[in-house]
Amino acid sequence: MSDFTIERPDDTSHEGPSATQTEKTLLKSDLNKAWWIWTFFNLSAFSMERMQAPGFVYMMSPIIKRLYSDNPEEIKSVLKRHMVFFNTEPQTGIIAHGVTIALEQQRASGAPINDEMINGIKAGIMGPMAGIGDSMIPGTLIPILLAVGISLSQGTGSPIGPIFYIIAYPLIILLISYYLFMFGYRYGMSSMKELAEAGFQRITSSFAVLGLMVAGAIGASIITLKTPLTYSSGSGANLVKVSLQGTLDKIFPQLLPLLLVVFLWWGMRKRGWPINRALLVILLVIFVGYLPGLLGSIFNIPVLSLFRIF
Amino acid sequence: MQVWQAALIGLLCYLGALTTPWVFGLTGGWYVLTRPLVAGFLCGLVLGDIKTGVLIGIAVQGVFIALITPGGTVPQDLSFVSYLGIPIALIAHASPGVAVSLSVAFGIIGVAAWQILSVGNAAWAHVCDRYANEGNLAGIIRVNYLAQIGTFLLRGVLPFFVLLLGASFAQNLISFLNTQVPWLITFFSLLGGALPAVGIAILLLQIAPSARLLVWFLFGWVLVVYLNVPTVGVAVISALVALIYYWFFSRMDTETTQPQKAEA
Repeated sequence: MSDFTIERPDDTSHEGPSATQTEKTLLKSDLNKAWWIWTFFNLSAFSMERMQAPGFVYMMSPIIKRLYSDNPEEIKSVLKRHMVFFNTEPQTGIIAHGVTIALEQQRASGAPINDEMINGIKAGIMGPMAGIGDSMIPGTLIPILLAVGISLSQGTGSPIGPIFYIIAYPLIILLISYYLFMFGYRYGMSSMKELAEAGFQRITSSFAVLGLMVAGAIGASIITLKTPLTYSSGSGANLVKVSLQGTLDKIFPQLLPLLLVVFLWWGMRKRGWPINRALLVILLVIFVGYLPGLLGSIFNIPVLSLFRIF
Repeated sequence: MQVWQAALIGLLCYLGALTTPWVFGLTGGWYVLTRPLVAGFLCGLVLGDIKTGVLIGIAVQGVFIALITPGGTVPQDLSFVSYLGIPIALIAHASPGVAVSLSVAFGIIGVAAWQILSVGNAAWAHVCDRYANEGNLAGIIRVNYLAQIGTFLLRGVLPFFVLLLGASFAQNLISFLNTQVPWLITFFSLLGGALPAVGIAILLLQIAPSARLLVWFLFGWVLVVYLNVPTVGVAVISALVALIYYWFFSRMDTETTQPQKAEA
């Protein structure tokens, strides 16, 4: 039976401050400030590695100042907690930000909410909201508004169409975004009270399950690593070249990206690699894999690189 | 094209870029300024021919009407589509059809610019890590502004010079980039494809304190690769699993606490 259970996080060293602490409150203006910062800086330091994490931390800054200004250790901890990979549809995925702020407020007030729980919930919301948001906003709302704009200017070339779009889109989406942000915060606050009664310790691992499964789905969808290598099968007239990637896809699709993630995780967790080392590993893997193909194309020899793009 | 016109269009290109914060971030920039419909109008305004600008904008917009940029992967780069393809088509008095193919060519070049930027910006994330270890919030905030340097160079300064040098130069640039250095584009595409692995691994470090928990990560992964479940579907399934898991856990807890009560 115990085979089915998950090890509970035994490392409680980075749990919230003790329950003796006083209730921390946030002002409405703190929330508004956070929303405005995110609305402007959601992608300003975007990178393929950590995606929207720097913008997320900037968004959290008014909250961090209000909740943790008296505790330098907590500031370090909250900054590290939110510098992990974060990516969602920025305008609608902001519901995750509201919930996260609620969690941080409860944590600062003494609830035993740890890093795994906060990042588990964040990952659990950001993944589906990226999917829903992308299909609702650039997939539905924007094409509809653009189609209206096009129909207003088609043939005549009048500026009415573009002007309609310039006004309509930001107005609609900013209202939606603000509502979702506040909804996330209120929901986070009220559901956290229920969760507190149920006992945080038990719930943390349930949220880890949620976050990990969604993280798996995100990883399987966004990491690309394929090989163009082929191998020969059969003999004589029956000799055929078989694509290695095709064979891999039949056995386990997206196997190479999975091995890469697990390898990096293993290196950082078991070998204590700093993040820079992990980045260097990726650079080396791609460079070494790409080099034969590059040299082959320069000297016009039919050598393949180990990886291909599509 | 006049210097001020090239500068203004370069500025619009920068303001509308995916990673520029100044015009309501993604909302006012990427999703408004950089839509070809809007860019056609604005380029027409700058170059003194709104009607042609809007008509070219409509033609180009038709191609990219439902362009989604999932997880930072850009199949076509709208920044250069809108603020290199459209203005160059305008000053060359190209037909809407030619404008479309010109824009598409620029869009492919723009993808390389985007990949270089989004891979290079990883360096800023590492600066943030250092600040996080020091508890330096102001430092991380500053990075959000400093990271604009790269965006400004690639999305503002570069288009400015291309526009200044004119249409024939742009054509030569396109053919040069397409034929001479595809390896650079390939290399950055490969790197951009693999880099999220670092981010996901860091996320795993945070959510999964023990190796056994990786089973759940694998579970989400195989749902996608074998059953083609979309991320939203995985979220729903994982919520159900988490709920079942929670109930299972609760039962275990009551089972273990009751005998203790009996003893007491």
